[in-house]
Amino acid sequence: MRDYDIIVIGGGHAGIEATAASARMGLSTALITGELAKIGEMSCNPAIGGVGKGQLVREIDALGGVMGYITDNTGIHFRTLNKSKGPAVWSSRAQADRKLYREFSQHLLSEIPNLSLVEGMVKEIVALDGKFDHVIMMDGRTIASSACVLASGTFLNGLIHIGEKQTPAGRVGEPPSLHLSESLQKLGFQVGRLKTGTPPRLDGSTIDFDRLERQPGDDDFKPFSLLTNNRLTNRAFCYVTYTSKQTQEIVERNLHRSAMFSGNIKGIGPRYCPSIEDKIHRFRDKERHQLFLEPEGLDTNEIYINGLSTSLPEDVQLDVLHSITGLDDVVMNRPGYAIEYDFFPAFQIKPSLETRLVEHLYFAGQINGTSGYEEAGAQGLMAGINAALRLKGDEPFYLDRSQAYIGVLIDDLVTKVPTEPYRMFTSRAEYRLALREDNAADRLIKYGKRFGLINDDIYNTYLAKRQMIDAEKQRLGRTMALISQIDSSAANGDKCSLGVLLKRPAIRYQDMRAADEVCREFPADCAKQVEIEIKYEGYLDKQQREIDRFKQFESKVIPDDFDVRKVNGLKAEAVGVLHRFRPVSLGQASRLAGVTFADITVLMIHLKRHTSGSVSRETL
Amino acid sequence: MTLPDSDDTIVAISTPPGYGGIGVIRISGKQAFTIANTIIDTTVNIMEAKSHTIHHGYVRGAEVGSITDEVLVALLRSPNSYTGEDVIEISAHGNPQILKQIVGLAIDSGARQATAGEFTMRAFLSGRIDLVQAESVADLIAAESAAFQQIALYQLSGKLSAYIGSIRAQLLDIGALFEAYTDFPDEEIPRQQQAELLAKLDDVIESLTRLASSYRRGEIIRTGVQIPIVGPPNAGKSSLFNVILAEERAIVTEIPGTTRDTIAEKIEIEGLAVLFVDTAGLREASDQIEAAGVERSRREIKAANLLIAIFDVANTPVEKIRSSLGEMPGKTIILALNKIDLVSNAISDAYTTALAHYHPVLLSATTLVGVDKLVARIASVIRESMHPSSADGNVLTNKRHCVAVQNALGSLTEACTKLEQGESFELMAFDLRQATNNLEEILGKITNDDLLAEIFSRFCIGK
Ligand SMILES: Cc1cc2nc3c(=O)[nH]c(=O)nc-3n(C[C@H](O)[C@H](O)[C@H](O)COP(=O)(O)OP(=O)(O)OC[C@H]3O[C@@H](n4cnc5c(N)ncnc54)[C@H](O)[C@@H]3O)c2cc1C
Ligand SMILES: Nc1nc2c(ncn2[C@@H]2O[C@H](COP(=O)(O)OP(=O)(O)O)[C@@H](O)[C@H]2O)c(=O)[nH]1
Ligand SMILES: [Mg+2]
Repeated sequence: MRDYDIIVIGGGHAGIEATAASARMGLSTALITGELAKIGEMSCNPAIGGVGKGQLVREIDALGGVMGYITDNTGIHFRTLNKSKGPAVWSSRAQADRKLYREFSQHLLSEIPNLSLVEGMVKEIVALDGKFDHVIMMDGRTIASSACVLASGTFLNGLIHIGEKQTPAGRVGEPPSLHLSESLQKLGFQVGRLKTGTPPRLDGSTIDFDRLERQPGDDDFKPFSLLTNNRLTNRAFCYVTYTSKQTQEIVERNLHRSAMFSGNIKGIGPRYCPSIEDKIHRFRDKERHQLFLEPEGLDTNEIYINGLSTSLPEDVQLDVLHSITGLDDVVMNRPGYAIEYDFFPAFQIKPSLETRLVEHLYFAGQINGTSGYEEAGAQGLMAGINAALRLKGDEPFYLDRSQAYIGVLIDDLVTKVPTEPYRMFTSRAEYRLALREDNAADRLIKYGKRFGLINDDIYNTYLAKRQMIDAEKQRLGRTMALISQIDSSAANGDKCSLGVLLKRPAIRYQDMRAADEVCREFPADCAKQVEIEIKYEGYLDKQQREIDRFKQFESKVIPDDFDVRKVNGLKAEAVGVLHRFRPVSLGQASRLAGVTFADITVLMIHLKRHTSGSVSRETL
Repeated sequence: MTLPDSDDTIVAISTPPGYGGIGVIRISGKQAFTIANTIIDTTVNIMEAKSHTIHHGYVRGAEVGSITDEVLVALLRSPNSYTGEDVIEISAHGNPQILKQIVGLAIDSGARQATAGEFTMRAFLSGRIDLVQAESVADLIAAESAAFQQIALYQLSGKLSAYIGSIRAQLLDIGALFEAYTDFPDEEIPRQQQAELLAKLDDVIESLTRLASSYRRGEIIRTGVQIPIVGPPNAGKSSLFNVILAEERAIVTEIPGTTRDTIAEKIEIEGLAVLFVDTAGLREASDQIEAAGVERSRREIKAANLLIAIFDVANTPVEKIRSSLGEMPGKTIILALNKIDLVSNAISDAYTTALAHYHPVLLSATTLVGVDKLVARIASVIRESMHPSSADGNVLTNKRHCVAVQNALGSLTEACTKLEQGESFELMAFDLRQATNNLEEILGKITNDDLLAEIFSRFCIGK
């Protein structure tokens, strides 16, 4: 007897997306999680988005996910990063009210039909004949379903370090998930260990904000979600401060007491979000390090200090804090800590996020070696969609590297062995110019619509906007104007189309309002889109040629029944790597370390024969 | 075009067609040893013999007990062979009939006739060599001059690839810096860092510019230098041409205008292939055929960068020579004053002085006086133009490489302009990425089977 179609384990950001997607696609779905009241908890800072991550959130939203909508509704400070750079790397970021975020998430899930919430910890995953069957809970209950998405985050054998002190935990104040990792290993999964850290929390009433630089939110922030119609308001400030010479001395003096430096932590930590110990140790010449003070919520004084992740002992953390401008008398509510946990290197999953070993079992989020809410959310959504499609008997849903950051994320996961928790960056996306926040809906909304995750209203609103933008682009191309009227640096009386004029770096859409009536009336957010698309056109054309070439290799599918071990002429190393990662296309194969271009050529020759239908001659 | 199957064991005659002292048959692939074992009788067991050993034996005939030839068999086991596969090389007597029969026997035992360039393609596929190296193999075989042969060897050794690889590494390095600024928000690039980036980019641009401009030299090394011999009718062009080539190639007559068409001949000077071209005289032609010859000479002269201008001192006034030379701007001219045997020393001295600006070489094509000086002059001019001060082995001789380098340069120049104008990093990063791709194309890191098929079709069968 199946209790549900789909079980999702873990009420973190991956689990929420997976649950919402599969339930809304019509499958009875249960979210099983340690503590229902903790669903939607932000383990680290209460912020969504950031460079490369803002893009992920807008993609999740365009596909019909919930993260953007929750953030719009619980955010208290909204800002676009990288504003001084080009639109391809503009990235949205919001500070959320931690409590509101949790509550809103729980409320949102409670309103979705087909969705049940189950409290308790899963102890064991049981497979029958290589296929997922049921889970066994710590209290002995068994729950059966046709498919399962495992999104257990940092909880698997989690171990928290604060200085010399070690405590088993999933995150602070919550017990770890025991036995589950072992149950997976028994099924044949290979396990690895990673670590990450979080900074101390401060009592805001003891901070001297007057001495600090205030960072307001943006007034014209475009909401993350297509569902949000209202303007978002900034209800809090962030502040900037710096470490001092004294900070450096304190850290250096106590380095041996840090969990990471004393060798107590075996997991590998991220390079890009280093602990303060790491930063000070590695960049000795740098006189000071920038830190951000971020509010945890509206009805709390608690402040998160971004940039000061640490695993130093509590007393040292306090000394460090007191050496920072504006924090001379600060009270520390909770110390920072580092956590290490089990993860499953992602060569064990397919690009659909289904595991290779156990059919109908999907892995999503931190368990795949990533770090970050947005990365987790993106995977959760894809796993939820794919589990639902699988049960409906449909083909899996893939996004490739030229379509979405989500595609980049998953492709990176399944082609690389992680050496540190994986975080998204814009530089990971080689077709970055085409993968912008502003065109996320252009790229993805059709899929959200197809899966029933985007309703007709939203879709039609999108279409109408799109048509307006296209019409305006065409109109600008046709409309001639006196150059001097728009570009004050132009002297002569030549005329030129508005479209061509807008390509000039110094000319903005609003500059054309002087000369053109329609421009005066045209809505600002559409105008922005028009401007970006016209200015980027040349680059996008060039990029498209690259994408076309890329697609040629992506479209050369390596069939499931293709045995690389039978390919003559491949080097042993390549055979090993290909066999382990099982790439789905020639393009994906070419991105594996250890596979050379000569190997790809050999594969290409063999694939041609394989797919042309002639019988492959056995050579082994 | 498609690439041939890489599973088969292939066979081909690897020595040039025709009769020779010996002829070599090469077999490569999984079955090579088995096939050799089937068709050759030896005292050792081929299947078990050590790699890199040579054995005496007999190729069996079609009928039982008969033999086709007495041979030496070289055994080269994977991966230490030309193709990276198991290779057998059979040295037989150089009779085309015998060689064909042996190939036939190998085919009967399961081998397939190799296609053009297939052995080299396998070396590429086995990862032993990259594309640049593979291409150089064809060059090495075709090389007509010592200089080209050296360049081809340099490329085959992988040094050019390594050089291009090092430039690519530099680009990746710079790219990483751009990316860092893109991914870490609100970090503005400090002025000092910007200058540093520009300097690094300039370095790469300079290396690539040098590489791109080496193509002109490379092309000359590959195809040779063309030197037309020009001058009025009867100046002694054909005579000089013959003397230089030391063989009666052109018709020498006393009737002006006899050389009606260009005649060209290649010799090696300074390790380079030099193509001398005897041209029709530059004068009003009296008939059509001659007119065509004159027209052709003009084209020849127009195309050449280096030419020998020859005049008859016995019949041409200094002024006439000056004005003729004045009509050939932008060329490197070697001035030859011919027929000094017909004039006194005083007169030839007077010509030398009057034309000192051109450093004339006095000579007589009849008595051969001064011809050695002329050849020495030609050699020194070639030397100067071919070996610029910084000459290294990194010379492009292949159009495909040159185009890719030029494309990379285009992208990088654009990135520089943007950096100077303070434009946004993601655009420069894009340019940089394109340039990197261009370099990877050269090495074949971006595979395209049509390109491969085309490259390997340049080979003769057996390589
Ligand atoms: C200390 C710390 C520091 C971090 N620092 C950063 C950072 O600097 N930058 C950054 O981007 N990200 C950071 N993160 C990561 C970020 O919090 C996670 O990447 C993200 O929350 C992962 O989402 P998830 O859905 O995979 O798992 P989580 O958010 O961890 O959620 C897991 C959920 O699964 C439930 N669960 C686990 N096991 C079981 C079980 N057996 N049965 C039932 N339920 C179970 C848990 O109760 C929990 O609700 C940090 C996390 C921690 C804990
Ligand atoms: N005495 C003398 N006669 C020469 C010399 N060079 C060429 N001639 C003669 O000049 C005539 C024309 O020579 P040719 O080479 O045909 O001149 P072209 O028309 O320039 O090709 C021939 O009769 C040659 O023998 C030279 O150095 N000395
Ligand atoms: Mg002549």
